[in-house]
Amino acid sequence: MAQPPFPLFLRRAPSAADGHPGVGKTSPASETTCSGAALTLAERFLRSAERFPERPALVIGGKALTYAALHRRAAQIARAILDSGCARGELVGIFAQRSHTAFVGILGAVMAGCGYVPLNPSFPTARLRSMSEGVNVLITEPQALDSLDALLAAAAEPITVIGPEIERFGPLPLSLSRHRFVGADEIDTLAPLPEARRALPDDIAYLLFTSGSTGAPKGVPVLQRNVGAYLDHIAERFDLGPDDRASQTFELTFDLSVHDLFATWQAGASLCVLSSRAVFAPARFIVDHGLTVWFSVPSVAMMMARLRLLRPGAFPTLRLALFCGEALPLNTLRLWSAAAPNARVENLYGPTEATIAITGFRWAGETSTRLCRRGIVPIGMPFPGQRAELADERGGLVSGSGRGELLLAGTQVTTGYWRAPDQTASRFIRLPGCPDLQWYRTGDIVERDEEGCLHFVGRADSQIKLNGNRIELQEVDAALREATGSDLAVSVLGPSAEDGLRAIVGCIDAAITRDDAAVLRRCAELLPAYMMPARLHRVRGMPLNINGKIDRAALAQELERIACTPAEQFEDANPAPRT
Amino acid sequence: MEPAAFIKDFVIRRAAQDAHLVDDDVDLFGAGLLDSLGLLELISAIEQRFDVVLDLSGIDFEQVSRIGDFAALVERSARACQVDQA
Repeated sequence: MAQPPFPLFLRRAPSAADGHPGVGKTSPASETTCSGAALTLAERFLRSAERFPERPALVIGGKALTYAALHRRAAQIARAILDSGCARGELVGIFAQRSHTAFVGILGAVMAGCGYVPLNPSFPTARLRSMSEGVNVLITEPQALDSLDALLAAAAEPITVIGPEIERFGPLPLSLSRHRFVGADEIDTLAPLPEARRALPDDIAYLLFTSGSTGAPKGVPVLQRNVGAYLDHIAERFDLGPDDRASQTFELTFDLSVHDLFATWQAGASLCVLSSRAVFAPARFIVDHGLTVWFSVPSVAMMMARLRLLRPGAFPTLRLALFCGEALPLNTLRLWSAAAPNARVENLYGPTEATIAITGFRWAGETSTRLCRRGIVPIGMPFPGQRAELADERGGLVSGSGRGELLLAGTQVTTGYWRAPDQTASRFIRLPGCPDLQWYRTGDIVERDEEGCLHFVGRADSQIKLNGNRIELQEVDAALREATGSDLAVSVLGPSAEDGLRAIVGCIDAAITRDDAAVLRRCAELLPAYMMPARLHRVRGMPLNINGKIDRAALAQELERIACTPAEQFEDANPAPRT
Repeated sequence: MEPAAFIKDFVIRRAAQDAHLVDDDVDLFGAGLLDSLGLLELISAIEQRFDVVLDLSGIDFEQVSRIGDFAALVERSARACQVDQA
């Protein structure tokens, strides 16, 4: 019997539980089935530290750290965190990029029974401040000291700054004297915490921020039980072991990095960290380190293809290759598969709100080609125990094959945004007749074929993926408007100078008197590097759509047209300073 | 135009930097003058301009990061092409 169409999604009224479940106290019982015995992040690492103490856990900057050594250092940091008065379930900031400090800091935080918040020191200060609101402890790397002052200056409460690689903190200005600084020399004297302080299933495991269409980033708190469900499935799906050597390519502010760390460590395997520039052209790194497991966004593979680094048989040691974060072109997968002939290759999909990835497609060679639509690889089937439905425009569910907005539910789906009840209410909903399940509206338009396999089609809004990074163009718009002092400013995903590669182009009114360099400098104070427009394009008459709003699609078309006309390609004489 | 001069000119124009900030010893990646897209565009431009094919499979970009390093790469590849054609 056909389901009657639902007129509108029932919106869940925001409740007191929204925002930050589990901080320092037990939270309301979850409404989805709890997997009960799921291990915490700390336990997954500790189990391997117990079983494989002398195996390399972390390979970084050419040096390997054993599980025992990493454990000891993390346990000292955990002691420092406990000494600071941080309660179980509270948040610890990781003010570092992918350095030794960052990894040992994350482990220290989870051993202390806390959640962690990655804070990229290169992000604009204003952004870092809003991301670190709930944070009283900052694990800090030496390279981040220059940016630390600005962050501390704005802190309302005293902060404990822990620097595992900072020998000692130099003399500090009086303005910072209310904060506490714990350097490496003091950490060396601390007795390692003998046991982890156990996080509870509803405690936050990590808090990540994604681009928000209102102009401010959205926080996604992922709970211990959400990530536990994901990691348990990964353990079954992939059978990693202590002989594996896995890549670490994702920034820590990207949830796929959580997989890198904990899928690797729960197996007793070695995590091999690529420097940012090695990620541009990783062929040498894969071979030098004899990697057995690769995980990156498709753009890295596409880049490698362009640089002719995907020669057949180039990576014989890889036995598993995973891609996630953006659409995976069929041609790229084929080239990768030929370059890594011994690897099982999978395409994973999932928004941050559904914990890392929630569907997957296993490449089965040429027979998989016929399953591909529009030249991209399918996103496959939901992981066991997770639910996917498609909603049509009227809010009804699509049964059988068809197209609609992907809704997700299950133990991996988080409960809401960080301190943002309105946004939570609009994206986390209940369906009529299904009161026990909370669904997350992904905003992704997806097709389900006759076999139930899912295919990504596109977005209904102006969210884009660039190198796997999720960007709301409206957030870039807001920065452009602020930087130009004008409402006639809109960002567009446009062609770059290099054939086929995309970049964000800021389209602004030609009459703006401020010069391009000044506009871009102001943008850089508001936006992290990965969201910055690559260049500006001045427009004499902004095209408007039928609603009187600037027509983004028309601008995108105009940029494409210009790109195809050789003589006009060099009109833009003011590209952005790049980072 | 020599490879080094071509590369320097490319980096200056693309990064919109003053010429004196782009010297031969600067680590292009570390200084933020070249990102992944920039690298791709640079390689493309070099290959077109000097009619070479650059083999990057063994390259470690910790070692190859300055204008001189890229220029040496071009010169090695140009010699290799000549050998192949001999």
